[in-house]
Amino acid sequence: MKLIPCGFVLVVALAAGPAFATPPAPAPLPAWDQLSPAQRDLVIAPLRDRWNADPQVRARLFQHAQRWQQLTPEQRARMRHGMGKWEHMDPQQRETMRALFHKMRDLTPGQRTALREQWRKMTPEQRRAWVDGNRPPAD
Amino acid sequence: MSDYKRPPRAGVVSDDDFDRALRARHRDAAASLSPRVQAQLQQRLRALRMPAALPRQRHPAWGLALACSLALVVVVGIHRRATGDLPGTPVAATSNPDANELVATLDEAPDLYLWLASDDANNMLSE
Repeated sequence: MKLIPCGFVLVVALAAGPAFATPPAPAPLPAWDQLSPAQRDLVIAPLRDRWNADPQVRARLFQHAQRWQQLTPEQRARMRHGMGKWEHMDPQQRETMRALFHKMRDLTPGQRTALREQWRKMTPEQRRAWVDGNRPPAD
Repeated sequence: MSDYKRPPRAGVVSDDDFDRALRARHRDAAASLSPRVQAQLQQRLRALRMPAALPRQRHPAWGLALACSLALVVVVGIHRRATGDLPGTPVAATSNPDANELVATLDEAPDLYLWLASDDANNMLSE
């Protein structure tokens, strides 16, 4: 009779076994040039969707791809770091940073310093108004 | 030596008196037994109680089995929740982070992302 509880536990343990089984690691994928056409299509499918969904964005995507190609490996690594920050921003923060970036890009070093000082002294309401008045033009 | 007193007449003895009298007789009888006989009696008494105790011993085993099973169920549940392997959990077909990253790479100007990684952007964001 004492075997029954042990058997019961064993059956439950065996039933739970698959939950602990580590799935086999997928085979490492080769470099892009060694991928099959079907695999390449699968990877770029999201970009193809974006490209086809809105003709207005095609020029912008193309321009950004050209700029990306000009970046050095170090710059691409920094860019990924910046992308990570972007992903964690809320829409309002994104709008603010986009406006600041476009404004700063066109300023001289001295003007940038002045804008930084000005920004530092602004209240949240003043910053909001500044962003509203400095929206970047659509690419 | 004994508080037993013979009742004066049959039929007049109360229940309490009768009970007291019987206990007194038992006490006298037990006191007159030799230590060896008393030990034997206790041994037999213990043997008689053993079968009654056996069924109770089964309960801890079943309780242990139940506890182990519950613990396994809890562990499996936590494991599946942690790995997102809960039955019926919908697989997000459109929330592939790699796919989103691929599109996001070209959606904004690469120079914007570069600037966001700078201390300048950090300061302006945190102020």
